[in-house]
This record gives sequence, C-alpha cells and structure tokens, in this order.
Amino acid sequence: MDPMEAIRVTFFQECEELLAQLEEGLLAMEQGEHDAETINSVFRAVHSIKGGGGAFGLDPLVRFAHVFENLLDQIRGGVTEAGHEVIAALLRASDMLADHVSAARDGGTADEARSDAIAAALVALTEGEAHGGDEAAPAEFEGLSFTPMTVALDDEPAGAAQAAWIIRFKPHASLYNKANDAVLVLRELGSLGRIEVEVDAEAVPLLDAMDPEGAYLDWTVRLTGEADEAAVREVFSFVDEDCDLDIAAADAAPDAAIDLLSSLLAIGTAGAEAPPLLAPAIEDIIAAAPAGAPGKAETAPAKAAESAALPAPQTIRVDLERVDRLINLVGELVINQAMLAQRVMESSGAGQASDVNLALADLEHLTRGIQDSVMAIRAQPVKSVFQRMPRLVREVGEAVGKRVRLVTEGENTEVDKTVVERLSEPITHMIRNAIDHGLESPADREAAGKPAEGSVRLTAGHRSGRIVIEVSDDGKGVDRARVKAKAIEKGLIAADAVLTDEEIDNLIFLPGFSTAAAISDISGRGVGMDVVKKSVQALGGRISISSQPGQGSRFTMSLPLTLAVLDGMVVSVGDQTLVAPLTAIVESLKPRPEEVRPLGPDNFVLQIRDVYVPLIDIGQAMGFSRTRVDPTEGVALLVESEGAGRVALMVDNIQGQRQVVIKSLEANYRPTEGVAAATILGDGRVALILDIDGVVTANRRVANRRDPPAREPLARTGT
Amino acid sequence: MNDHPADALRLPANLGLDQAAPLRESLLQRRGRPLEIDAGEVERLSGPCFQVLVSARKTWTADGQPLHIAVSSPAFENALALLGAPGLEPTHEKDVVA
Repeated sequence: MDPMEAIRVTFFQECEELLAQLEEGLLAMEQGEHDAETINSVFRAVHSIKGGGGAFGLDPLVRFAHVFENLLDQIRGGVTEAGHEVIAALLRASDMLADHVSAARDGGTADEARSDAIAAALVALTEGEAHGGDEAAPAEFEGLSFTPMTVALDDEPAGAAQAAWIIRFKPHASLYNKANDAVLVLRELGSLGRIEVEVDAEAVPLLDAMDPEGAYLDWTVRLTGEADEAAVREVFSFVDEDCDLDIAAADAAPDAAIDLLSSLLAIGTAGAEAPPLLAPAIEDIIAAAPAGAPGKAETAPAKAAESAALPAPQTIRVDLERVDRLINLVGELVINQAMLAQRVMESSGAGQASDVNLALADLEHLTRGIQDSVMAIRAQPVKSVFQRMPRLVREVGEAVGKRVRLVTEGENTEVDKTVVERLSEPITHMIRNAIDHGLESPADREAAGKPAEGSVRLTAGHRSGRIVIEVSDDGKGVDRARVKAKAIEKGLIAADAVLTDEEIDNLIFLPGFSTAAAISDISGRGVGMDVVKKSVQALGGRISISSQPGQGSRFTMSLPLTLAVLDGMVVSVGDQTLVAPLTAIVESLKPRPEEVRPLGPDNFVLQIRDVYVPLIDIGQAMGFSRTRVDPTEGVALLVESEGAGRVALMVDNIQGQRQVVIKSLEANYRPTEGVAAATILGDGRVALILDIDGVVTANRRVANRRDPPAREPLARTGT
Repeated sequence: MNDHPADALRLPANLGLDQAAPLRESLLQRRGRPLEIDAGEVERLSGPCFQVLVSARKTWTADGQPLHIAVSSPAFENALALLGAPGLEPTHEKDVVA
C-alpha cells in the first residue's frame, strides 16, 4: 500500500470513530445535554472530518461539512438554540455526512439532491438566527472558504468571530527525552493564529543545581484565531502525555495572567529599541514571575487534576492479522502447556516431583493470563454495532410511518471482534422486525392507551460467560392466531397441531415464514427470522423469543464471548474423548438405579430431585457405540439446552475440566451435526467439542419420529 | 555593564536538544566573571538550551556579575520571542492559518 493510500485508510477509519462520536453527541443533546463539552465534541467531530476531507480534496464532503459546522458553531456560540427541530436536522445531517464519507471512501457520490436539501435546511436554520442577530453574516457556502458565520463572543462585532484560548503548557522532562521540543510546539501554536507567550521561569534553578535534561519552564500562551479547541489539542497530540496541559477559552475580561503578559510585552517592546539584550529581559521574567506565580501555583494542581480526569484513551492501531497470529500462537502455547503437564504427570507418577507440578501450575496460570490478555486485545465493545442502530431506527421508522425511540443499554459490553462484526446483521434484522412488525402505528398505539411513540430497547450484557443481547419492543406482541394460521397455510405445521404459546412464538424462526401481509422494503424480501437464527447459530449462539400480547416481544440472543477458546469438561464416551462446553453444564452426577426410568421402548428419563429430564446417551446419539451405557455405571451431565430445557447426557466418565482451543471443524473438515468444533488435547489427540443443542435437537427429532406423543411430557419436565 | 572586561562565549549554530548539557558546562566554566554571549550564529534554539540560558541569567544575577548578549541572530531572536522571553518583537504578525 502506498503511503498516501495508507493515510487515506487511516482517515476513513478515523471518520468512522468521529461519526460515531458525532452521533453519540447529538443523541446526548437530544436527551437534553447542552453542556459545552458535548456540543464541542460534536463540533470537533464535524470539523475534523472536514479538515481531513479537505486534505484529500473531497469537495462535496467538505462543502456539506462546512455548512453543518456553521450551524454547530452557532449552537456552540449560543446564537442558535438546539431545540427539537434543530437536533432533528442535525441528526439528518450526521446521517448525510456519513453517506458522504462512505461515498468518498468507496469512490462513489452521495445522493446530491438529498445532500443539497439537507444543506439548505441547515443554511436556513443558520441564517434564520444570524439575521436575527446584530449583524447578518454573509452566507458564503461555496468552496472551502471557512468564513466565520457566528458571533462567538457576545460583546464583539460579527467580524471578530475569533476564538481566544489560554493555553498553559508545562513540559515534563520526558517531553525532551522523547526528542520533542517546546519550541516546536509553540511554533505550531503560532501557526494557528496570533500568539502571545508568557514564560514562567520561577522554577529554573541556578546553573550548578540544574539538570540540563530537566524541565523547569511553564508557558502560558494566549492564542487568538479561528482555531477550535480540537485544533489546539492537535498541536499537543504528540506531547500531551509529557506535559501538564490546560486549554481554556479566554474570557472576555483579561485576567491577571494577561495583565502580566501585557506588562511583559510592554517591556519587550521597549527593549527592542536598544540592541536586543537577553540580560534585562530575563531579569524581568525573574522579577515578574513571583507576582504571577502564587495564583498559578494554586491553580496548577487543580488544572493538572482536571486534565487527568479527562484522559484521552491511548490507543494504537494494530494490523488484525498480527493480533490473530499472536492468538494462534497463544493457542498453541496453551496446547503445549497441556501436553507438557500431561507428560510430567505420566512420567513422574503420583506424589513425585511436586516442585515440577507447582511450577507447572504456575505456568498454567501464566498461560491463562496471557491468553486472557490476548483475547482482551480482540475484545471490543458492542458499541460499534449499537451506534449504527439509531440511524436505522430513524430510517425504518420514517419508512413505515411510526415514531420510534431507541433505548440502548450496555453498549460497553465487550466481546470478541469476530463476534462484534457478525452481530450487526442479526441485530439490524431484529430491530427492523421490531419496528415493522412489533410496533403498532401511532394511531393504533394511542387507541390501545400507549404513547404514540413506540420504544425499542437494545441491551447487551455478560451473563455466565456469554454475551446476551436483547431486542425488545413495547408493541403488540406476537399475534399467535395469525402466526399459527400462517404456519398451517404454509404447511409448516399440521392443521390440528396443538402448540404451546412458546412454540407458536418460535414458529417465526422457521424457514420461509413471514407474517408481513405486504412484503415491505423493510423486513420483507424473503429474509426472515430464520436467517437471523442461522446467523446467530453460526456464531455458536442461541436466540429465543418471549412475547406478551399487547405488551411487546423480546428477542434474546446469547452468544459466546469468543470463538477462540472454551472452558470445557473433558469426558470419555466409548473410545472417544469429547469436550462439553462448561457453560452449558449445570451439574454432573452418578445416577442411581432407581432414578432412571424407561419411557417408551428406547427412551429413558432421569429423576433429578423432583423433576424428570430426558436422558440422552451420547455414545448412541453420536454413533460411537451401538450399545447403551448402563446409566448407573456412567456419569450424567445435566445440561441446559435451548428449546428443550434441561437434559441429562450420559457419558462413560469425566476426565477433567480444561480450557481448550477451538479449531473449526467446518473450516478444516466439514460441518457435522452435534459437533461444534474440535480441539487438540494435551496428548496431541483431536477431541470433538459437543454442540449440546445440536445433540439434543437431533435426539428430539429422532424421538419424535419414533414416538411423537413422547415429546410433550419430555419437554415439560425440563421446567 | 559593557565597561567590565568580559569573558566571551560564542554560541554554536545548533543549540538543539542535546546541546543543553555542553552549553551548561561551558557556561559553568565561565561562572564568576562578567560574560558576553555571542548568539550571532545561532540558527536553532531548543527548549532545554533556552532553560540553560535562563538559568545562566539567574546564576550571573545571583553572583552579582553582568551577563549580556552582545550579538544575536534573527533565528535566536525569533526563538526567544516564541519562547516568551521579551526583549524582541513577538510573533504577532504571523498570518492566521485555518
């Protein structure tokens, strides 16, 4: 990749983040947060996109961003009030800006008519207010001219829409050690506008006591110009870790620091008449410093604390391939460590070499720590996916004429990157479905005594080692009569089938099922909830629905946090070693003879305390052995399965609990029913990882074919 | 001040980051006597070197000895102005760059 292209890629990556930041800020403003920081962050985002866009000559984007920025600037300056209508326009503009960014990235053009219409609306909002002000600012939207449109300082005429910043900058020694120089920083500040620099030399010791590599000076810079705070911060982007930095908007009234500054400047001007002399100059600094110092000495720690309270997360961009290589290597390390442990155990025998065993335990601990850390590198908050949803909700709501409010929760829940990437599709579809099918029209809602605005909730959270994502609405719930009629009509179920409410609800996951009377743009086109279910299952997840008539529906997805490692119970079945995911296992037990009851010719149920659960012989179900294990000689794993509740799985015995590295069977062999993936054990053998739901479902199917009536009682026992 | 017989120090052209220690050394060697600094060749003045000069100024003042800059290059003056040391025209006239 040539360097320019690489910069371009980075720019678009940053755009993604900035757009997310923009939308987040606007949504916060919509919720009534009008503090300067929120508005500034929104402004900065648009400004940075515009700046980058300008560098790449993305004219349509820059033109649009410029108009956008003008309105934001007015809001920031308090000229325009960010009312409902304005925020709605800003949200539309942020969507449009996102379109411009993607168009620029993919080499296409954005919808110009829409862009112009939105830009015109922004201009109207901007001008409407500007005309109302003291002086109408000229509307210059052509080209890249950054004409200030706003009166930022109330008591100044429109021409002076210049921001003033007071920047306090105190380098640490580390700044110089990293080959940065305060001179360069100050020079760069100077390129942003007019600067007036004051230096506090109070802390400089005498020569003999001085560390030439130390840092003793403290600068206060007053910057006047059009630079916004982001631009000012940008100057410090390479040094902000290595200095105390405080950037504040200058008040209209000059404070003591500026008084001091101007007196210093006066001295400076006087000195310039004579041949330039450092001596009197520095004397003056030294003399003047104590006068300015006490106040500053008091505020300095406070300011430092303030800037520490708003830490910009330090990040680096790393090629994903490198991370994956690392993860793979750590996976191999885990396997190797397991092999080593096994060898040691085999060769040393019980009670011997306890030092070695202790060291091995430490190694295992470390290995696990490394693995967790490496996985954490890949972990990402689901925020990136959640952030795309407000726009979807706005657009879908508009398309179907429903008013929708999206509430999101837990967007900082972290999950592996591969999972995050593949979450977008099912969530998008579920939200579309919720708006299109779940929510009623505003009129129907009001008739039902609900607020006209429907609400869709999107939440994420960690639950027992999995991530659970829920999409719920406060709509009408599943119309069970219609769903059932439709299923019968489509031949998905028998006309006389007796189904529980839950089973009817779950019919919507059947392939080819769609209740929308008219196929809409939104959720029609033959893509149904079955696709969602498939994509969730492909991630090793489960999806279920619960619905209350008149109150809404809730879709719950439960997904593994990572697709790379798994905590498993290693069990023997016949001559095979299998791994059962630990998350599915509720308990394990040795059945007593009186607890095992036959049910029909081939089925057994196991009594666990006061409930009966189906007993599935894994060896038979997977085809490893033809003969059934005597339940009283094996071990039963009580597992929680999706759809069938609790089920007991019979295995010969349990070898132990272990973290295993998942090796895809699909990628390396082919998909196999009942098997989720494979792993390599400590002794180098391949073991299959059980797909509990797959096994249970397959078993239910077989049981149903053999003996349909047996199904109902079996299923119910699980509750 | 100029009446004292002064020791002279000619500053090198590059007062970069790594020059602070040598600069301090050469200044320390001249401590206790009046000093005249020739900054006529300075093309670059780094923050650390500026600190050393500030410290030298304090030191000479503490010793009751005069120290002054006899000659200074435009680059040196510019840097001093940028660093907030008055005695030179500050960089007021810089154009605003958007």
